[in-house]
Amino acid sequence: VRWYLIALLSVPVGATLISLVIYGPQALATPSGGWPRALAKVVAVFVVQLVLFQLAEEIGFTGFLQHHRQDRYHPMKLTLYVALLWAVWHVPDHFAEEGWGVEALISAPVVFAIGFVSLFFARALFVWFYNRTGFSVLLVAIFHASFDAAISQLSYDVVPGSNTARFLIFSGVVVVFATAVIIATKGQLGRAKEAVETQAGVSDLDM
Amino acid sequence: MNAWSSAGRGVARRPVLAFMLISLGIGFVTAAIPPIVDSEILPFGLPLHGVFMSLGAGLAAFLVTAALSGRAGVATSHAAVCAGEFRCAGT
Repeated sequence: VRWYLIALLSVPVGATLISLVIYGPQALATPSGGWPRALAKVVAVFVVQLVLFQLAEEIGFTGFLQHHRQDRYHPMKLTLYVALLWAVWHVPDHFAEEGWGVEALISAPVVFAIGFVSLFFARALFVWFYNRTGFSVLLVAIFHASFDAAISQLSYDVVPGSNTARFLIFSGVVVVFATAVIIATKGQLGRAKEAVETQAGVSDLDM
Repeated sequence: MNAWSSAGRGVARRPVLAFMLISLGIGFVTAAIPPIVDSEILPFGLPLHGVFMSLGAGLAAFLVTAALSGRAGVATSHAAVCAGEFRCAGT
Protein backbone atom coordinates (compact mmCIF):
# COMPACT_ATOMS: atom_id res chain seq x y z
CA VAL A 1 0.00 0.00 0.00
CA ARG A 2 2.87 2.34 0.85
CA TRP A 3 4.30 2.10 -2.68
CA TYR A 4 0.92 2.66 -4.29
CA LEU A 5 0.53 5.82 -2.20
CA ILE A 6 4.02 7.04 -3.15
CA ALA A 7 3.38 6.31 -6.83
CA LEU A 8 -0.03 7.97 -6.79
CA LEU A 9 0.52 10.99 -4.60
CA SER A 10 4.16 12.07 -4.61
CA VAL A 11 3.97 14.33 -7.67
CA PRO A 12 0.52 15.92 -7.12
CA VAL A 13 1.12 16.50 -3.41
CA GLY A 14 4.73 17.65 -3.88
CA ALA A 15 3.83 20.08 -6.67
CA THR A 16 0.89 21.47 -4.70
CA LEU A 17 3.16 22.10 -1.71
CA ILE A 18 5.75 23.87 -3.89
CA SER A 19 3.00 25.96 -5.47
CA LEU A 20 1.72 26.87 -1.99
CA VAL A 21 5.21 28.08 -1.04
CA ILE A 22 5.48 30.17 -4.22
CA TYR A 23 1.95 31.51 -4.63
CA GLY A 24 0.61 31.27 -1.06
CA PRO A 25 -3.08 30.51 -0.41
CA GLN A 26 -3.87 31.61 -3.98
CA ALA A 27 -2.62 28.16 -5.05
CA LEU A 28 -5.58 26.53 -3.32
CA ALA A 29 -8.23 29.01 -4.49
CA THR A 30 -11.38 27.07 -5.35
CA PRO A 31 -11.41 26.26 -9.09
CA SER A 32 -14.53 26.99 -11.12
CA GLY A 33 -16.90 24.10 -10.47
CA GLY A 34 -15.39 23.39 -7.05
CA TRP A 35 -12.70 21.04 -5.76
CA PRO A 36 -14.74 17.78 -5.89
CA ARG A 37 -15.35 18.29 -9.61
CA ALA A 38 -11.72 19.30 -10.27
CA LEU A 39 -10.32 16.32 -8.37
CA ALA A 40 -12.78 13.92 -10.03
CA LYS A 41 -11.51 15.15 -13.38
CA VAL A 42 -7.89 14.50 -12.32
CA VAL A 43 -8.83 10.96 -11.24
CA ALA A 44 -10.67 10.34 -14.53
CA VAL A 45 -7.69 11.55 -16.57
CA PHE A 46 -5.41 9.36 -14.46
CA VAL A 47 -7.50 6.24 -15.16
CA VAL A 48 -7.74 6.94 -18.90
CA GLN A 49 -4.00 7.71 -19.09
CA LEU A 50 -3.10 4.54 -17.20
CA VAL A 51 -5.28 2.22 -19.30
CA LEU A 52 -4.76 3.72 -22.76
CA PHE A 53 -1.23 5.09 -22.53
CA GLN A 54 1.07 4.18 -19.65
CA LEU A 55 0.47 0.45 -19.24
CA ALA A 56 1.47 -0.35 -22.82
CA GLU A 57 4.27 2.22 -22.83
CA GLU A 58 5.80 0.85 -19.63
CA ILE A 59 5.38 -2.76 -20.76
CA GLY A 60 7.68 -1.70 -23.59
CA PHE A 61 10.14 0.62 -21.89
CA THR A 62 10.22 -0.79 -18.35
CA GLY A 63 9.12 -4.42 -18.64
CA PHE A 64 11.04 -5.09 -21.82
CA LEU A 65 13.83 -2.57 -22.45
CA GLN A 66 14.81 -1.69 -18.89
CA HIS A 67 14.33 -5.23 -17.59
CA HIS A 68 16.39 -6.82 -20.34
CA ARG A 69 19.28 -4.42 -19.80
CA GLN A 70 19.31 -4.18 -16.01
CA ASP A 71 21.74 -7.07 -15.48
CA ARG A 72 24.11 -5.54 -17.99
CA TYR A 73 24.39 -1.94 -16.83
CA HIS A 74 24.98 -0.06 -13.62
CA PRO A 75 21.63 1.50 -12.57
CA MET A 76 22.76 5.04 -13.51
CA LYS A 77 24.00 3.91 -16.90
CA LEU A 78 20.78 1.95 -17.35
CA THR A 79 18.83 5.12 -16.56
CA LEU A 80 20.81 7.09 -19.13
CA TYR A 81 20.42 4.36 -21.75
CA VAL A 82 16.67 3.87 -21.36
CA ALA A 83 16.03 7.63 -21.05
CA LEU A 84 17.89 8.28 -24.30
CA LEU A 85 15.88 5.70 -26.25
CA TRP A 86 12.70 6.83 -24.51
CA ALA A 87 13.39 10.42 -25.60
CA VAL A 88 13.95 9.23 -29.18
CA TRP A 89 10.63 7.37 -29.00
CA HIS A 90 8.90 10.64 -28.00
CA VAL A 91 10.11 12.49 -31.12
CA PRO A 92 6.99 11.64 -33.24
CA ASP A 93 4.93 13.39 -30.54
CA HIS A 94 6.70 16.63 -31.42
CA PHE A 95 5.87 16.31 -35.11
CA ALA A 96 2.27 15.32 -34.40
CA GLU A 97 1.82 18.46 -32.32
CA GLU A 98 3.90 20.92 -34.36
CA GLY A 99 3.40 19.52 -37.86
CA TRP A 100 6.00 18.37 -40.36
CA GLY A 101 7.27 21.77 -41.48
CA VAL A 102 10.82 23.14 -41.45
CA GLU A 103 10.24 24.94 -38.13
CA ALA A 104 9.31 21.69 -36.40
CA LEU A 105 12.38 20.03 -37.91
CA ILE A 106 14.67 22.81 -36.66
CA SER A 107 13.19 22.83 -33.16
CA ALA A 108 13.18 19.01 -32.87
CA PRO A 109 16.77 18.71 -31.51
CA VAL A 110 16.07 21.33 -28.82
CA VAL A 111 12.81 19.66 -27.83
CA PHE A 112 14.63 16.32 -27.82
CA ALA A 113 17.40 17.67 -25.55
CA ILE A 114 14.93 19.16 -23.06
CA GLY A 115 12.87 15.99 -23.19
CA PHE A 116 15.93 13.83 -22.60
CA VAL A 117 16.94 15.74 -19.46
CA SER A 118 13.46 15.56 -17.93
CA LEU A 119 13.02 11.92 -18.97
CA PHE A 120 16.38 11.05 -17.41
CA PHE A 121 15.19 12.14 -13.96
CA ALA A 122 11.81 10.46 -14.47
CA ARG A 123 13.54 7.23 -15.55
CA ALA A 124 15.81 7.31 -12.49
CA LEU A 125 12.66 7.24 -10.36
CA PHE A 126 11.15 4.50 -12.53
CA VAL A 127 14.29 2.35 -12.10
CA TRP A 128 14.14 2.93 -8.34
CA PHE A 129 10.41 2.11 -8.18
CA TYR A 130 10.95 -0.97 -10.30
CA ASN A 131 13.77 -2.31 -8.14
CA ARG A 132 12.15 -1.46 -4.83
CA THR A 133 8.75 -3.00 -5.72
CA GLY A 134 10.11 -6.34 -6.87
CA PHE A 135 10.04 -5.40 -10.57
CA SER A 136 6.49 -4.11 -10.83
CA VAL A 137 5.63 -2.58 -14.19
CA LEU A 138 2.21 -1.69 -12.78
CA LEU A 139 3.66 0.58 -10.08
CA VAL A 140 5.86 2.36 -12.62
CA ALA A 141 2.84 2.86 -14.91
CA ILE A 142 0.81 4.22 -11.98
CA PHE A 143 3.55 6.73 -11.10
CA HIS A 144 3.85 7.75 -14.77
CA ALA A 145 0.07 8.17 -15.16
CA SER A 146 -0.09 10.13 -11.90
CA PHE A 147 2.53 12.57 -13.20
CA ASP A 148 0.82 12.98 -16.59
CA ALA A 149 -2.63 13.46 -15.06
CA ALA A 150 -1.26 15.93 -12.53
CA ILE A 151 0.56 18.08 -15.09
CA SER A 152 -2.26 18.00 -17.66
CA GLN A 153 -5.14 18.63 -15.23
CA LEU A 154 -4.25 19.38 -11.62
CA SER A 155 -1.57 21.91 -12.59
CA TYR A 156 -4.25 24.27 -13.91
CA ASP A 157 -5.99 24.19 -10.52
CA VAL A 158 -3.02 24.58 -8.19
CA VAL A 159 -0.56 26.73 -10.16
CA PRO A 160 -1.95 30.21 -10.82
CA GLY A 161 0.85 30.98 -13.26
CA SER A 162 1.98 30.49 -16.84
CA ASN A 163 2.37 27.17 -18.66
CA THR A 164 6.11 27.48 -18.11
CA ALA A 165 5.56 27.85 -14.35
CA ARG A 166 3.30 24.79 -14.36
CA PHE A 167 5.87 22.72 -16.26
CA LEU A 168 8.76 23.88 -14.06
CA ILE A 169 6.94 23.20 -10.79
CA PHE A 170 5.69 19.73 -11.72
CA SER A 171 8.91 18.68 -13.45
CA GLY A 172 10.83 20.23 -10.55
CA VAL A 173 9.19 17.77 -8.17
CA VAL A 174 10.44 14.88 -10.30
CA VAL A 175 13.95 16.38 -10.56
CA VAL A 176 14.20 17.00 -6.81
CA PHE A 177 12.68 13.59 -5.95
CA ALA A 178 15.01 11.80 -8.39
CA THR A 179 18.10 13.71 -7.23
CA ALA A 180 17.27 12.83 -3.61
CA VAL A 181 16.84 9.15 -4.54
CA ILE A 182 20.11 9.10 -6.53
CA ILE A 183 22.03 10.67 -3.62
CA ALA A 184 20.33 8.56 -0.93
CA THR A 185 20.96 5.29 -2.79
CA LYS A 186 24.45 6.36 -3.92
CA GLY A 187 23.37 5.73 -7.51
CA GLN A 188 22.21 2.15 -6.90
CA LEU A 189 18.54 3.10 -7.33
CA GLY A 190 17.32 0.24 -5.17
CA ARG A 191 19.45 -2.42 -6.87
CA ALA A 192 21.43 -4.76 -4.63
CA LYS A 193 25.06 -3.65 -4.56
CA GLU A 194 26.33 -7.19 -5.27
CA ALA A 195 24.20 -7.32 -8.43
CA VAL A 196 25.66 -4.02 -9.58
CA GLU A 197 29.23 -5.12 -8.90
CA THR A 198 28.84 -8.28 -10.99
CA GLN A 199 27.73 -6.17 -13.95
CA ALA A 200 30.94 -4.19 -14.11
CA GLY A 201 32.84 -4.78 -17.30
CA VAL A 202 30.03 -6.49 -19.16
CA SER A 203 29.99 -5.51 -22.80
CA ASP A 204 27.07 -3.34 -23.80
CA LEU A 205 27.61 -2.94 -27.51
CA ASP A 206 24.97 -5.32 -28.76
CA MET A 207 22.25 -2.86 -29.66
CA MET B 1 8.88 -19.10 -43.93
CA ASN B 2 12.53 -18.35 -44.64
CA ALA B 3 11.87 -14.62 -44.58
CA TRP B 4 10.14 -15.00 -41.22
CA SER B 5 12.90 -17.07 -39.72
CA SER B 6 15.63 -14.74 -40.97
CA ALA B 7 13.69 -11.76 -39.62
CA GLY B 8 13.37 -13.61 -36.34
CA ARG B 9 17.10 -14.24 -36.25
CA GLY B 10 17.77 -10.57 -36.98
CA VAL B 11 15.47 -9.53 -34.14
CA ALA B 12 17.15 -12.03 -31.82
CA ARG B 13 20.57 -10.61 -32.71
CA ARG B 14 19.55 -6.97 -32.23
CA PRO B 15 16.51 -7.02 -29.91
CA VAL B 16 16.80 -3.40 -28.76
CA LEU B 17 17.23 -2.11 -32.30
CA ALA B 18 14.21 -4.17 -33.38
CA PHE B 19 12.18 -2.86 -30.45
CA MET B 20 13.04 0.74 -31.31
CA LEU B 21 12.43 0.33 -35.04
CA ILE B 22 8.99 -1.19 -34.50
CA SER B 23 7.85 1.23 -31.79
CA LEU B 24 9.35 4.32 -33.44
CA GLY B 25 8.03 3.25 -36.85
CA ILE B 26 4.50 2.97 -35.47
CA GLY B 27 4.97 6.34 -33.77
CA PHE B 28 6.08 8.16 -36.91
CA VAL B 29 3.41 6.53 -39.08
CA THR B 30 0.57 7.45 -36.71
CA ALA B 31 1.99 10.97 -36.23
CA ALA B 32 1.86 11.44 -40.01
CA ILE B 33 -1.78 10.41 -40.48
CA PRO B 34 -3.91 13.59 -40.15
CA PRO B 35 -7.20 11.84 -39.20
CA ILE B 36 -5.40 10.23 -36.26
CA VAL B 37 -3.50 13.37 -35.21
CA ASP B 38 -6.58 15.61 -35.55
CA SER B 39 -8.96 13.16 -33.93
CA GLU B 40 -10.83 14.41 -30.87
CA ILE B 41 -12.36 11.07 -30.06
CA LEU B 42 -10.65 10.79 -26.66
CA PRO B 43 -11.91 12.68 -23.62
CA PHE B 44 -9.97 15.49 -21.88
CA GLY B 45 -8.19 16.43 -25.10
CA LEU B 46 -5.93 13.37 -24.93
CA PRO B 47 -4.16 12.66 -28.24
CA LEU B 48 -5.21 9.57 -30.18
CA HIS B 49 -1.79 9.23 -31.79
CA GLY B 50 -0.37 8.84 -28.27
CA VAL B 51 -2.50 5.74 -27.77
CA PHE B 52 -1.14 4.23 -30.98
CA MET B 53 2.42 5.16 -29.95
CA SER B 54 2.00 3.52 -26.54
CA LEU B 55 0.38 0.43 -28.03
CA GLY B 56 3.27 0.36 -30.50
CA ALA B 57 5.77 0.16 -27.65
CA GLY B 58 3.78 -2.65 -26.03
CA LEU B 59 3.43 -4.47 -29.34
CA ALA B 60 7.14 -4.10 -30.08
CA ALA B 61 7.96 -5.64 -26.68
CA PHE B 62 5.56 -8.50 -27.43
CA LEU B 63 6.97 -9.17 -30.92
CA VAL B 64 10.62 -9.01 -29.87
CA THR B 65 9.95 -11.27 -26.89
CA ALA B 66 8.23 -13.72 -29.26
CA ALA B 67 11.24 -13.66 -31.59
CA LEU B 68 13.65 -14.11 -28.69
CA SER B 69 11.91 -16.89 -26.80
CA GLY B 70 8.88 -18.04 -28.74
CA ARG B 71 5.34 -18.56 -27.58
CA ALA B 72 6.42 -19.83 -24.18
CA GLY B 73 8.52 -16.73 -23.70
CA VAL B 74 5.58 -14.47 -24.43
CA ALA B 75 3.34 -16.45 -22.08
CA THR B 76 5.78 -16.03 -19.23
CA SER B 77 7.00 -12.62 -20.33
CA HIS B 78 8.10 -10.54 -17.46
CA ALA B 79 6.43 -7.42 -18.82
CA ALA B 80 3.10 -9.09 -19.48
CA VAL B 81 3.00 -10.78 -16.10
CA CYS B 82 4.29 -7.86 -14.10
CA ALA B 83 2.01 -5.30 -15.71
CA GLY B 84 -0.72 -6.65 -13.49
CA GLU B 85 1.12 -7.42 -10.30
CA PHE B 86 2.65 -5.48 -7.51
CA ARG B 87 5.51 -7.84 -6.91
CA CYS B 88 6.79 -10.36 -9.43
CA ALA B 89 8.49 -13.05 -7.42
CA GLY B 90 11.07 -15.13 -9.19
CA THR B 91 11.66 -12.78 -12.09
